[in-house]
Amino acid sequence: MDETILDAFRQNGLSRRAFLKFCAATASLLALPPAAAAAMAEKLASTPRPTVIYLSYQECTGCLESMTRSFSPTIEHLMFNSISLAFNDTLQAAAGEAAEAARKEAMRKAWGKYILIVDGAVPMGAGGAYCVAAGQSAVDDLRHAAQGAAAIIAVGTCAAFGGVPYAAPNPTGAVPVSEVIRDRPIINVSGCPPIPEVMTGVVVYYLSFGMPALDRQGRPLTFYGNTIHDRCYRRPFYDEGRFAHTFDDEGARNGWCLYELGCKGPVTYNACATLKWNQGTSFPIQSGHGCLGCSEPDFWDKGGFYRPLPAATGHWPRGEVLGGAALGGTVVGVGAAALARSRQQAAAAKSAKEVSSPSPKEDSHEH
Amino acid sequence: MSTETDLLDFARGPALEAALIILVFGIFWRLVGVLALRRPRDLSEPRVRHAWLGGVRTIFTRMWPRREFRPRILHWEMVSYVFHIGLAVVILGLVPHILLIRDITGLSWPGLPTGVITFAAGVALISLLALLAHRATHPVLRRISNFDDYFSWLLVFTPLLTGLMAYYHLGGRYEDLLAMHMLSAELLLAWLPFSKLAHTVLFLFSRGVTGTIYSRRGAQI
Amino acid sequence: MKMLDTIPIRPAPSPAANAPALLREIAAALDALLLSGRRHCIDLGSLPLSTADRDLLREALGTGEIRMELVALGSSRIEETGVPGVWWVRHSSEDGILLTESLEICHVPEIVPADTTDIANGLQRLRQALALRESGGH
Repeated sequence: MDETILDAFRQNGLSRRAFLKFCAATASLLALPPAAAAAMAEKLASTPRPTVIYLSYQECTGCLESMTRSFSPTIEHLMFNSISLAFNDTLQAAAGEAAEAARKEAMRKAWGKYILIVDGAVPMGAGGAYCVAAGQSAVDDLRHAAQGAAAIIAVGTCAAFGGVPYAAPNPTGAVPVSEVIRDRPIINVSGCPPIPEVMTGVVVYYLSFGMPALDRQGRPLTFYGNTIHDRCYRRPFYDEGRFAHTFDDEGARNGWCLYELGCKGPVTYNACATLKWNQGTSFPIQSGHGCLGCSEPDFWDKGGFYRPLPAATGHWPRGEVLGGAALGGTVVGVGAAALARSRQQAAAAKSAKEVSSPSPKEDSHEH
Repeated sequence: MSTETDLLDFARGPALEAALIILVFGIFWRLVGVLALRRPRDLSEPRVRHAWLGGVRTIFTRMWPRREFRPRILHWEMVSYVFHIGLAVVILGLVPHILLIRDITGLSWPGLPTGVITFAAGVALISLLALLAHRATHPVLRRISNFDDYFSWLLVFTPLLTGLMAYYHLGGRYEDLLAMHMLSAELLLAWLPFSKLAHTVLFLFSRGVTGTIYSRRGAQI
Repeated sequence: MKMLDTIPIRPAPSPAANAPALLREIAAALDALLLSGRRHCIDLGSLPLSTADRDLLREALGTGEIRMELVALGSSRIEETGVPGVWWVRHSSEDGILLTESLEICHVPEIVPADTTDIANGLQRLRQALALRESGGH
């Protein structure tokens, strides 16, 4: 019989009590009803400890850096108790041939059952040559690894939506995981980086209850169900019409709404305003800077971080274009008037002729 | 990537640009086209020295019905005023609108709290509905109304409605509703110069010119 | 900063908005516990509780006879309130950060009694220790 998650707890010298505590803390983090902690405990106690393969492509390791700072559930609990992290080229001790061999062995053993975490975008340009490890391109590697995966968790905005590598002009032809793999369930955990507790929380949720409910961007609704703006503690200032106009004016010092300074909170779905960062210390808006919208697709190409949301996204020369339109309108207007005038003149000449010659329709031109 | 964010980007980008170009082009076309028309030469002796002053006066006197008409139309005129003021408060008072105008023109002014805007938008919507009902039931008004009137009504109504829906997240995600709001407002801008909605610009000139002509002849209107 | 000092600060007391409803929920849960033995749990972290709310809860529930400390993945405090059957449970992490805070309505919180497998494992360890003692006692 496969080793269960509870067994793994015990093997690490932890009691069932520690396990129950872990479940209670996680359920609370996931905003699940307390009864779900019991259900989670029951499920995890009987669930075989899953193998997790963590693959990194076009990424900066920021997501992994973030993930290792999760405080509840901690990455240590995840790795030692809940999952069997079979491969992660940054965290593991093995390297080179040994690492590749270990990965192949782990994948073969858990084929069809492992969870695949993908970090980073996948370059498709030049036959995938922009990202090659151990002689295999990222795209081929991902296609192969995905075949044996029960589910794929795309961690970070690069894996979920393409992120920075995908930004214009996208020289490497980068694409998100969902454009390479279409026949496996994918959970997008976006953010640059995602909130650490969101990453570990999603893994535990998946183990306990299976696929979470996802939004249209494939993100778990538990964490991405609300906009930053709707959960922002500065929201009342938006409603009162109190805004910071620059980063050092009275409004900024008073902590008023950063909407005018380009905050993307109203169109950004993430849990920053509620879970916050660094063990609940703060989040960007609380630190005085607007939201960049890093958990949304194409956040690099949305017309500038400091341009207010209602401003036009295009960088077209306003004066020249609209001046040209005015000039064009004037020309057409003059042309139309000239045409009308010449018709009027023709009509007048015609009626004048009719007036000079005796005509029965004498009052026909008087309207 | 995804259609809904694409739609918002389209609304904020190319659609906005196109709508503004059509708006400016159309207004200049209509305005210059009308002003450059040949008017019949008035050969009579001018009865007043500065007839244009009468034109300016007319712009203001036409803002309120003459005494004779008041019992019949004053209440509907009031409804119309309520609508226009409500709309102006919404367009010029909401901070996102001001930011958009600032982005395009560089002009800026302080905004109003969203509670005030919501109230004004609600009032404008209700008065618009009342005006539509009036138009559809009044025998004469119904006769002289055409597609232009009803379509223009719809294009004013839709941005107001979708704007409120977007603000309160009613009936969809904020981005979708915001995209709908922006697209409907852009359609309104593009339609404006070529419809009866052109009165936003033309009313000054039509009143001015009429006033000047009659004032020259010594008539007061 | 000088400006700040000139502003008279009179913080408005935030009302105890949620505590009364919570107390009623607790009463209903105790009813259910007496009638059918059903346990109930309220996650305090998921509710917006003001200081006044907490004070009211503390005051109404009081302090009971049992106070336990659990040391597993950090420390946890499990205290019975003055209302028997209502337990105030606070789980903290190894770094002392509060993970969850809940009220459990039950005879004993599920986390307290020793688990059968844990008992069996402990027994095994005890027997091994005894065997070692006996073999070493010669």
